Amino acid sequence: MTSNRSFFKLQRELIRRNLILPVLSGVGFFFALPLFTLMMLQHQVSMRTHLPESEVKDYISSIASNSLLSDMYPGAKLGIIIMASLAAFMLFRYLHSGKQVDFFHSLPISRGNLFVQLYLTGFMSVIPFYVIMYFAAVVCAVTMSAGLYITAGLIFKALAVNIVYFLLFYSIAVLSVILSGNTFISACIYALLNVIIPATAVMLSSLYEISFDTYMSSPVLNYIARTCFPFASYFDISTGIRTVILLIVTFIVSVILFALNKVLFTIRKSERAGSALSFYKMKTPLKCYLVLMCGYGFMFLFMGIASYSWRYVGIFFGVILAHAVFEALYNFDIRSLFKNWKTMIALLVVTFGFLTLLKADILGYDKKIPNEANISGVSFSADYPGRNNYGSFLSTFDDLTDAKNISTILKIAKYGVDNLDNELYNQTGFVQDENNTYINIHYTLKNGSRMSRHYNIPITDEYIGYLDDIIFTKEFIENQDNSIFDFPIDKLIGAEIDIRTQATTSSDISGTVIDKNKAIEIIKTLREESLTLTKEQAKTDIPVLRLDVNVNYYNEDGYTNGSSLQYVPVYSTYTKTLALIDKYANVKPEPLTVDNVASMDISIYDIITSDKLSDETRQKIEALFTDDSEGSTVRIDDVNIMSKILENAMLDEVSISTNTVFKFGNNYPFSIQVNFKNNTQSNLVYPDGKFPLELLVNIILGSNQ
Amino acid sequence: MICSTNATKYFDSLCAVDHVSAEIQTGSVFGLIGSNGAGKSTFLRMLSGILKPDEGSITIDDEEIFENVPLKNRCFYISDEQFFFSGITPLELQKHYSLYYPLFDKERYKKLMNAFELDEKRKIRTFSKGMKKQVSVIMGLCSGAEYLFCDETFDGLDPVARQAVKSLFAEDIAERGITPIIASHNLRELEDICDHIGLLHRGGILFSRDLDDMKLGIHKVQVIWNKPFPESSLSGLDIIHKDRRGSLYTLTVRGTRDEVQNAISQTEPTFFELLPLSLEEIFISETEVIGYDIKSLLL
Repeated sequence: MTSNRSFFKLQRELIRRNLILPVLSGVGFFFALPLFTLMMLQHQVSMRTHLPESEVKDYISSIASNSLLSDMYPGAKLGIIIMASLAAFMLFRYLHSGKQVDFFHSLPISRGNLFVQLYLTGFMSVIPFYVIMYFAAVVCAVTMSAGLYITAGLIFKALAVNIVYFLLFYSIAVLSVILSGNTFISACIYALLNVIIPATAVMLSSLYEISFDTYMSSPVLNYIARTCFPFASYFDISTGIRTVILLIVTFIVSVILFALNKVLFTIRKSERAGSALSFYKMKTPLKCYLVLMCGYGFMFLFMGIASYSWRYVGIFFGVILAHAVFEALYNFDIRSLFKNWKTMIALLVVTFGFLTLLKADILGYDKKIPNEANISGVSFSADYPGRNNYGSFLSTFDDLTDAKNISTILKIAKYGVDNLDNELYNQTGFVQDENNTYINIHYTLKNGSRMSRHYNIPITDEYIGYLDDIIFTKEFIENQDNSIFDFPIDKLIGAEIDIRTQATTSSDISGTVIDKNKAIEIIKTLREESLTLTKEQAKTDIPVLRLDVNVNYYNEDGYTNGSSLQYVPVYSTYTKTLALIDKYANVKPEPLTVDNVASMDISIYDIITSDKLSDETRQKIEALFTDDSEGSTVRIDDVNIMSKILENAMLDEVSISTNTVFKFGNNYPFSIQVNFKNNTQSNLVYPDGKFPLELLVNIILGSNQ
Repeated sequence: MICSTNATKYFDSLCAVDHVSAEIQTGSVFGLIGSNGAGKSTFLRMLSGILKPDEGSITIDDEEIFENVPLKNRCFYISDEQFFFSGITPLELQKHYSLYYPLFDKERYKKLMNAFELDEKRKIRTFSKGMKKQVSVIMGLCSGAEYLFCDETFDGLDPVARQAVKSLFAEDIAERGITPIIASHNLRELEDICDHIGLLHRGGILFSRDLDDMKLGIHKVQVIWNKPFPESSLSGLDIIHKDRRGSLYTLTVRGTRDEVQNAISQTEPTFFELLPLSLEEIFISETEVIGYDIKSLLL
């Protein structure tokens, strides 16, 4: 090297030789950033000429900072991905041409230096133009008075996210060009590299799902699939400390890829130009991976189109197809379809074998239950058996750590494992109905790892007993999902409560508490009194009030979050809560009576299949409604009759607020709609065994229709 | 000095260069002869540092060439199929090469461009094949490199340009002591420029010989005797080839000029004359001795 040849002179020369890249970057980002910003903001202003200027400024400033100039703006992201890919392919594509390789590699420049020069050329051809156009967009926004919320942090974050992800996509694209001697195959490798990790995670998860009866979607595999898919993580970038960590990790990955690319570029043989793969040793593992993935992919396709029994046929076709295509592409010769047929057979055997081994569960995945001594906490989700209504779903937002609860869960797990050999309860045979249900259990072990299992369970008194043992414990109540405990009360920013009585439909409100401190006081008191509810009460009592609770609070990342709970029950025994509601909202419990009711409509549904009526009764009713046996209606406005119908009844929305263990009658051929005097409507629901079937039959048969 | 010791190169299962050993002295012109697919280009590319030998070594002045930037600074490769950047002109190409070759002679470049009547501001993609070759040769000669690796460089040049290039090479050899290594399948092209010839066949080097030594050591004699062929009198001569047409014998004989003349004179011929051998004739004779039919090796 002499003074004539400097690093930056060569850099400038390479940019000049590849001028199309900076031109494309400049033009592309110009359209995507300042021009689009101007157009979008102008459009928004023109649609709001009727609004005060300050409001318009606020609105367009929000658009500018939350979308156009933020790290979320898809226009910039698309431009970054396209230019990163283009730059890599245009600058390193010479590796695919023998003529060009001879030219570049005969020059007195080391491979390492040449790689750095080319790599930097790509960066310098794109990023400076992106940055310039970004700041041009900022200027446009400010000029249009849309810069109220533009901060240094916003700008820094947008630039950082897009530059880091440019480096990632650029490095992946460079790697794919280096790994092959053919541009088409490089493009295929580029696509593969972007999806290989999430595709493998999803494939593994899917294989486990069809092989293990107790498999639950693995949070680890799901996280890998989400985070290691560059496109997904780029477009789904969120806020907070997780974003910073993700960005740092992405940057580190880009640096590692840069180093890997440099090494591979240096050792890559010049004569590999024009060949399918640059490194001989890549062929076997790549072929094995692609053939296996294709084999299992076709397996799922055939299973989806036909049935589970077609899985081996799918594998057969998938393996053969993938092998043939791979060999044809590798050799650039269609006649090579069945070259290395012995390898194809071996891969068929491996593919079949792996699936068979998984299904045989030789490692005992399905039957594994962690040792109680190794468990630090458990959580679960399940449908409470026999509850055919909203509120049957049980789950916790945090682990249960009480030893008794853990022990009960383990009993349920053993119950589930014992039923695995029963054909009715394994994966392929299971149908959830009134005799069968499921439970998902998540263990947190003392070594920090997590383990999850799904069990199909026969509904027995034993199983219901286990659930009841848990759901009325203080620990479960305080950790139940979608409950009054499911937000941090000490970090509330705002709270409002809407109150309804037993006589109020969802279209109406009995009262509201909008004062944050008063609402917090009610919530705190309600939390205390919720812990006093017994199983017997829960099975028989109907809440006298139900609340809709809306809160805003700070989450652990310091950002605001909201929670909206509906049908929160207040029982008659919650005296302190009732007193506070009366004091702050002037609302007292009001039972459902005929006083507010104008009329009732009794509708007849599906009497043909209902097992609640005798044949004789069915025939009599059918004779009355000859035109249509479905949806025929009888209107009642007699106060006495309506009063009898209302005995034991509750409004549909009141039934939702009852406890999980509260059972309702179902499968009756009639429904009753109440028409209130204030023009609201609702349907009536009855506890199990309390449906007034005979009364309704008499009413219907006694009607003039 | 360029030294190749058992240099070998494989492309998949094909052995393109098979344990080639050769020495090329600095300041001489080395001609690399061989038919298509003999391995000439591959060998040149190994000399240029584009390909790394799979076995053996290639050194220039006792240093390996592969990834040796200071050494590559002294080398310039002119390929058979040249690559030029899209839309580039000779002027821009000269500036590009100047970045890599600090001793690039811009004055000489201008002189040569004028001499060959090439427009330095015209896009190279509009040039003919021969003109592109001329541009490449000019770049190589002006780069200041001591070693020029030329792959089929004279192919595509018109006779005048060919002669001009040969003259330039000769001038540079004399003034700067450059060492061109020229690969070709055309013996006649190399005859008046090469000092040393190497013959490649199927990746292996059949022989490597100094041209003057070859010419000095082998002669063609036309002789007429008025008696039968004096076998015994000429037993001391190494006759490679004998051809008879009537009474005229044409002998290809190995030995010095004086030895041959004395030997023939002693047989009292009616007439004899020593004639110059072309490079092709020398090659044919030499390779027939080895056992190859040279005509089948060279097009």
